[in-house]
Amino acid sequence: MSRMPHTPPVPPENGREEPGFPFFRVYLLCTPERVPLLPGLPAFDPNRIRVIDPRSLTSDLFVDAVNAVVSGDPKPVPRWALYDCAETTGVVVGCLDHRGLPVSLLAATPTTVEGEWHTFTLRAHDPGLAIRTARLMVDLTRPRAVTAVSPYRGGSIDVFTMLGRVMLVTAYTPAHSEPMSATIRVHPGEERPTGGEVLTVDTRREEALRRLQDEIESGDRYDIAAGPGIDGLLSVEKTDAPSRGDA
Amino acid sequence: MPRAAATRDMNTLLEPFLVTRGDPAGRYDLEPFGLTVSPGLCYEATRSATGAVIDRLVKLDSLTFGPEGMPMPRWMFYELAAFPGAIFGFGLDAGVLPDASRERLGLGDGDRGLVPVSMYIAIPIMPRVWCGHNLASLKRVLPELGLRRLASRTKAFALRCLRCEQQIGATQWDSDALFVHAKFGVLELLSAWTPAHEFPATLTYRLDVTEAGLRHALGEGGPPTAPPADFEIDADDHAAMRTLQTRIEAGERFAITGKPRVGEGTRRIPIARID
Ligand SMILES: CC(C)(COP(=O)(O)OP(=O)(O)OC[C@H]1O[C@@H](n2cnc3c(N)ncnc32)[C@H](O)[C@@H]1OP(=O)(O)O)[C@@H](O)C(=O)NCCC(=O)NCCS
Repeated sequence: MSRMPHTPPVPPENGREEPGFPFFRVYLLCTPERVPLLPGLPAFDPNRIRVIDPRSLTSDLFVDAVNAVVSGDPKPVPRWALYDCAETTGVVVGCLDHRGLPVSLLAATPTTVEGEWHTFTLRAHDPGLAIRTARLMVDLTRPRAVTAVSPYRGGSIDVFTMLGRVMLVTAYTPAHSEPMSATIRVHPGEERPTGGEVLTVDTRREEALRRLQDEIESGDRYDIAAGPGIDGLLSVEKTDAPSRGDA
Repeated sequence: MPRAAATRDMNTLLEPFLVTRGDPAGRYDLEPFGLTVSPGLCYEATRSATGAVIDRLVKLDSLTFGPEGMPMPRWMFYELAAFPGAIFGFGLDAGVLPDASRERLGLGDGDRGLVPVSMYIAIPIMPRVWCGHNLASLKRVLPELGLRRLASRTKAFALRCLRCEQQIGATQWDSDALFVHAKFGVLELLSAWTPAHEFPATLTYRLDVTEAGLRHALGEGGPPTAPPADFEIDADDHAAMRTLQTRIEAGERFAITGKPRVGEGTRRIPIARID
């Protein structure tokens, strides 16, 4: 019997990968009731996706491994919160390593807006994996829009800008534990309209964020043109263009 | 100067509030059971001013769930409550609270406005199906207020306000909350032993919301019809919970048929096999 030489997978150079990325195995933690409601799931190669029922007794070791992905966080999301607010209501997804252990995580739950999912706790050890994980969630749920809350420092806004048009829902968020966070609404696959007034906001200055928030509260709408870099400067563009996701 | 003692019936002064995103009119029933949720007490989750409301809900949670070892991190009130779903509750105006209550709530002399004394947090699973993941009531923490059936009323009003037809929840077998949830009707067990949760001795249930169940929780009418119990589960019997879970996974269906039966140092939950 001849053995094929092991060839490391090479991601495509251009364009999107196939759903489920043939180069990675992925997992999906959700209830059996949720499975038929995931429009993207049938497109996945069943050998590449591990679907786990969080209510099954046999899920415990895998759920331990999923929770281990967040265990190094300074304030990890409580295990019960992942169970109550994602595994029970929506999905937890991520990529697996060669041993079949989770190496990334994104939790998502539907919101009261039809076709919209709120994502939280995006964890991956590098930005590439974070983007793959976010795309995985989008491929499975095929949402009209995805929301997320991201602190400006060390946040994940850039990951979401890779998915499509990103609108700013809040620029300053005192209802959150980190007020200097943005709430964003992502419209996957949609191009950001251009031509509006572009503003640069220093996200290290609370006052600047409050001002932008005041404008949003008085009805102005902004797209994110570029996430805050290491200098903390966020580029936003005023827009009147409605999103397809709002239709 | 000490404030007036609670001479008035505080139950008549309770005001409903709602924290959610977007205009609740039309989506929600803002006159549940004829009680108006006033526009001034419908808080928009994404507005800066709502941060102060969340502060008070965090306090309410720490006074109730804190001792249970499951306090809710503050970010969750926004990200896994008000933003994707809703927080419904009852509150009292700070001005009517007696000093003892104000002190326990950590209110300063200048603190005004509505002080939440109960809340029900729910996030949607699909249209008309909600997961209730937090029910908290200060009835026992502030006995001087003489509040009656506070958690039961809060959940009943919340389910009606959210137009919820089916509710999913997770709770511990030995939780006092089971007395409240069981008032609403038969609770089908989706899991009886749940290692994915922080506490494996957690059950996950599904409730079909009915008018009879809501009315019973409000103290009107008898309990909704339920099949007779086939056996009981002791609230401490982990082996029995695991066995029940194994049977659920093998395809059998079970439901909690009524409130826990309390004996000397024991608590037993009635279970029926259902089709
Ligand atoms: C559990 C909790 C929600 C109950 O709130 P509450 O306002 O006292 O509840 P209600 O008055 O509406 O109903 C409680 C019922 O349970 C009964 N009950 C509660 N504990 C009981 C016990 N240990 N033994 C017997 N009956 C008990 C009460 O007698 C009452 O029944 P009744 O209305 O027929 O008299 C409240 O104590 C709380 O917030 N606890 C901490 C948080 C928590 O555990 N939440 C639930 C998580 S799912």
